[in-house]
Amino acid sequence: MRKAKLWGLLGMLFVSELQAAAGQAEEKKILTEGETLNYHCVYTRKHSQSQKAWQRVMDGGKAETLAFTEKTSKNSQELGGRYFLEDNTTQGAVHVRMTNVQMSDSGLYRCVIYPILSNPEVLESLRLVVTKGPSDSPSPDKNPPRDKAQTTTFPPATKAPVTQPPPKSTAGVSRPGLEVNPTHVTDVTRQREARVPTRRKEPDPSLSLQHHTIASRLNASQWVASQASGLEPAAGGEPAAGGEPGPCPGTLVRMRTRNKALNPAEARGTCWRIFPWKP
Amino acid sequence: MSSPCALLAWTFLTLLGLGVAQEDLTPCSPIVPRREWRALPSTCKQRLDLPVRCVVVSHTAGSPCDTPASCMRQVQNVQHYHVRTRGWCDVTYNFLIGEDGLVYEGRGWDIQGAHAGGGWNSKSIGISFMGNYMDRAPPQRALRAAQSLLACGVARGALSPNYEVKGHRDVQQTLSPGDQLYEIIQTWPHYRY
Repeated sequence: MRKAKLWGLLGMLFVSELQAAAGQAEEKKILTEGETLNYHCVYTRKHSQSQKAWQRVMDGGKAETLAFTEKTSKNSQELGGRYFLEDNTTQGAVHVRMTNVQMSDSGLYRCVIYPILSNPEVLESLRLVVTKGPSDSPSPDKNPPRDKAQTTTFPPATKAPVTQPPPKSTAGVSRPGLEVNPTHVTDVTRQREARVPTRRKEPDPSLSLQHHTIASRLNASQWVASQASGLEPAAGGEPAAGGEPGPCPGTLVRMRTRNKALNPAEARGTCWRIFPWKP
Repeated sequence: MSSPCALLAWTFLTLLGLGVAQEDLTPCSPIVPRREWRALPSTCKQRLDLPVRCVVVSHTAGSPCDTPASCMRQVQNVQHYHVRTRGWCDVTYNFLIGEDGLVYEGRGWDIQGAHAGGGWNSKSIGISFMGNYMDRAPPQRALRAAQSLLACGVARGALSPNYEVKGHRDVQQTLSPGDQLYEIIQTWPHYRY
């Protein structure tokens, strides 16, 4: 009986040594909901002219391509919704950015050479672990909260559907039926007010979306951000060299907030996509 | 009754396993510490996530040195250039190798270097041979010192047991570590292009 245990232990040790020797080591990153993943995939100069892709590896080994770099530009970006790749060929690294990570994003990811072969050439692997945000319990802060901007992540990890990632089928930046014109905005208002009683969490009044200003200020950025109305950060309209935020493409709008609890840098610079409220 | 025996067995097997993993059981050979070569204090804060999986080998492209006294001066020169002239928080390498056959502590195992740009710095240890190795090779004792340093890194858990060695020119557009030294490191067992 004891001999069997010993042999079992020996066997386990042997197998773990084998695993350490073979294959690719994984890096690991732990984030809380709402944060942005910033990750560098490094590669040697033999790949400096190749395109790269960012994949998610499912249980069972099947990989799904989330984004890939473009062929034409050297320092290229690929808009894939929440996934941004920037290939810096002089530095030999692909900067991967995943915005607004959720617990469902936890899993194994990898950088591979694109086009992807049947036996893909993997540059790096990353194990991402997304933990729940500090909405339920007061978690101790690493930095002392000099001002409230430090304590909340933006958007906060509430149970509101705003935190759900958009469906993968969304190609471009515009969603059908979401033209931001005065008529539609009124619909949104009505929808929002109708659903107030069923909402599980009362929105912070300082965060309320001022609908009457939307109609008149579609091009400007004078609104107050609202979580409850279903806004999510999206790409585009990055500030030009001069520092002034550029116009947001399509149905995206730029937000500004008076609430100091929100991270002002996050809120101000981002373009927001409006989508219908789903309780 | 069997639990102390099981514990002993487990300990024995773990040690056995560790012994199998190590390449060679030589202890870490002496590294000249910062204080000894009279380093300026470092103001670098960025730590490395250990163990790292890569080692990037470069050369300083500056003057070589072949005695402990002259190498001590040379390391100071390199640090002065990086800190005073280029404005970095410290000498950019984690370790430097002299032709005296000694290893000089730069940023060390725990602090991120600034030797290879961008993502590589956060994922690698940078070691630099003091000298210019385009047309000549470093002496054997310098190469031995470097190998010993890397074995030490594995023993300490700073380097993964299956770490990869890369030349500086493999990760950035540069002549470093010099044609001759680059040819040599390509023969090292851990070298991967």
